[in-house]
Amino acid sequence: MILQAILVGLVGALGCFDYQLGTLYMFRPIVMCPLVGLVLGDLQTGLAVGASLELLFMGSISIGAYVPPNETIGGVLSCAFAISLHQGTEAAIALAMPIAVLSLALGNLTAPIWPFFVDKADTCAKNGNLKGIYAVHLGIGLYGCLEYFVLCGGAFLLGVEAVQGILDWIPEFVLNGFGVAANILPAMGFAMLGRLVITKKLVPFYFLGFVICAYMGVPVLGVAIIAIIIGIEKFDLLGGAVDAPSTSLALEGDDDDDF
Amino acid sequence: MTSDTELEIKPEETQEERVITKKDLFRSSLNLGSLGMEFSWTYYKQMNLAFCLMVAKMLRKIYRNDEEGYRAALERHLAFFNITVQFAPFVGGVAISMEERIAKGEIEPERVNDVKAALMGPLSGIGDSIFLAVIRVIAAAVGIALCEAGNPFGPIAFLLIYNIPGFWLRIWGVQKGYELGVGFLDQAANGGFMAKAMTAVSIVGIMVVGP
Repeated sequence: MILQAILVGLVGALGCFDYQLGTLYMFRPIVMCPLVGLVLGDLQTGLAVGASLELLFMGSISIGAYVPPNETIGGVLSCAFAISLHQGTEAAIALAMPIAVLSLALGNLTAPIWPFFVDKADTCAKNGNLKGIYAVHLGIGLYGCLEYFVLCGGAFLLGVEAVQGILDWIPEFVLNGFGVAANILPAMGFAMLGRLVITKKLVPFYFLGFVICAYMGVPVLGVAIIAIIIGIEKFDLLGGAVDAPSTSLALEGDDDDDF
Repeated sequence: MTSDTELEIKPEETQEERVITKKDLFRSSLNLGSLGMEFSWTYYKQMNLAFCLMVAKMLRKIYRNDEEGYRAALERHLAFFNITVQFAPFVGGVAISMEERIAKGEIEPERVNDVKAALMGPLSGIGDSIFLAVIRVIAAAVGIALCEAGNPFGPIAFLLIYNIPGFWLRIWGVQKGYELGVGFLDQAANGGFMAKAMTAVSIVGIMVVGP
């Protein structure tokens, strides 16, 4: 049992270490669950749970500064429980989202201490101490791996009743609150991205993109292609209208003569 | 400035010889910093540590005779950074080509972070929609279909489909970013072409973050 818990913990830690390997998306349930299945000796259930959970967490991706529910810990644990209790995919799906939201909240507990270490790196740079910057980078990352290891291995060791007990013990409004927060966070992620990009000149295009998507049902890639065409056309990037500067934008007119 | 006087002594280095080779750039696109962009991610400055580590070795080379400049450059590249990870080496290439000119005193040091900040938003918008909304979904669809059939190749197919374009973009991007930084960025800046291209890229970025 302890050996199994360590192996499950290691799979979780590997999921976190994936961020050092180039964010290969190995931390997704579709990879994590079969690995859990492999270490617990039931690859077939692992594959089936992985497929279902990947669908469940399809929209749960990190865009901008938005941090989604932790699909890695949610996937690893719910799959491990489903296999060890000989339950099917449904049990795993029921457990996955609450565990994922809880793991996100636990992970955020340590977030306030990191700025201190990140500022330490600035001091290292002032002293030309590159090793110090490496230490901060690896320290923050490896702490994350340890956290995943302890959460996955520990919760597996405690057993599904204990975890279910914890989830039941937490008042419903808290879990609902996490759920609402998880839904608000994308808006915040966008707002943070927006603060970087939006200028007065660009606001109309933001709404144009929104309208094309919301009213015409064009998928994101389609919007991107339309946007590229608008960009090329508006600024004449292909140089087709060099001979007719009068048709160019009045705003940028003086610059066009150089081409 | 010390670097300026050195240039006058060895003028041949200004035109042809570049300190940074293609090999340096290639290595930087696959080093611990480049691949670990999200390893030390914090809400505070996000990918700043990893970005600094990605370019650190090349900064050492550029400022090999200028310890103060090297330290200042390290600190400069510890500024807030966030991007779709696969685009990070591209921005690293642009930053390094600018650093070469900063070392010669041709550009204000602060400009490099302005350019990084200007690239972040649009490239993240494009990158997230290509990698997360398109390639990932295709990879997951193939992987899920195989997994549901009980085929252990499912997760492997998912990883291959998702990552091959990403690694290609890393390796190609760092060279392209460096070339653009050296040749295109400065010449284009005079004609206002850069401002227009950046606005055009911003339009793409802003339109895809809306949906």
